[in-house]
Amino acid sequence: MSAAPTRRTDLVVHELDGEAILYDPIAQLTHRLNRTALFIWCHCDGRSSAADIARALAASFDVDPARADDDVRRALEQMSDNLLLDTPEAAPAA
Amino acid sequence: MTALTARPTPLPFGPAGAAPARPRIRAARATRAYRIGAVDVALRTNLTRALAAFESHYHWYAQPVPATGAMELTVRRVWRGLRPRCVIASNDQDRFEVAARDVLPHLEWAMHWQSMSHLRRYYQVHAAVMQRGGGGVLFAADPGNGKSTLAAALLARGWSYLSDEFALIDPDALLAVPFPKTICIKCTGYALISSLGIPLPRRRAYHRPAKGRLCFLDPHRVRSAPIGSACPVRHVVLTQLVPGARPSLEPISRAEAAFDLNRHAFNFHDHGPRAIDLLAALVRGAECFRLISGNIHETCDLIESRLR
Repeated sequence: MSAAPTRRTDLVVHELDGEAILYDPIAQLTHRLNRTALFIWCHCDGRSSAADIARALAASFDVDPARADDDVRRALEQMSDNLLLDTPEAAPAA
Repeated sequence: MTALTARPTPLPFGPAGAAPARPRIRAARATRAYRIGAVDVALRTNLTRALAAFESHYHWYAQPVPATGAMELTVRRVWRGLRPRCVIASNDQDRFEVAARDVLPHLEWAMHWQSMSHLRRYYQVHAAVMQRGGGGVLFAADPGNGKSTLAAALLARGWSYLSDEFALIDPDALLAVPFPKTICIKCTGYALISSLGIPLPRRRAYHRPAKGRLCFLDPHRVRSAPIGSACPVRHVVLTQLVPGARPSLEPISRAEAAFDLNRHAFNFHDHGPRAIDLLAALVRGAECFRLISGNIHETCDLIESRLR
């Protein structure tokens, strides 16, 4: 997992009342993000670390920091598994 | 002297000693045209029994001439030894070969089958569509969850009928358009339908291995002027039948509804990325619910009290 995860920008995204549906035109799959997952995904801007996102989540949703950490870790794992995040380019061999 | 001259009719026999040929009359296949809601259908057959069976349900939609680009259904007879069989084709592709008595259900299924490819311009969802007060209600469900029974019950209560399992959404106008095929009632729903006071044509029941015994209910036999018109979808209802359960209708988020509707779509990929735009636009204009359907009377009462 990247230190500062970046969401894919080629997905079709529709925000619906604080949740979202995402369409991946490459995999031809549709995903649904609930309110928390959408918040986390929107913060995957390539600059914020998982810890930054967890802090923002705890502040915005008024949840315990430990739980926010756990939620962010799980959400990022799921997003990575579902290819919703950009994969960092492999470093060229020296 | 008489003005009438008679000519002996040639007997249908071949050369001396040969087996007698089967007497036959060949006629060009007549084409009948129908506009079933938004869907043009041309039926080509010279089999009067097949035509009569189809006409018994669809004469309401007869048109003088077939429309250009109509869905083509053909019924022709073939002989298997001494047994006559009927081959049902849609758009020149043979689909079924059945006994004459089973032509109607297979014409229905051929039409259903052909709809998938013929009506690609529409976004197709496995859902019943009913209309009340100008707005459409989409009851999306997996097979066996009572969409047709629910459609018949609401029809008997004065709702208008668009489809019992084939919701067609016009992607440009974002309207549900009618495709009012006959309502397919499985034998497990006979008692329910009868309890609603709807006369079922049980004597014209059919059997299909995957579905069991069933019959087709013409919506015009339920009430007059039963067919709705193209309309915006005002409610999306994800439906699940739980026999014996107390019916419930709970609001769900639009994202949840869109995600599940996608699962019930027949041709999501025909529309590519645009399909997701369409789904989002569809649910944005609708209230979305999850229905647990049980007793049909209580379920209808609940729907009528909540979906206004």
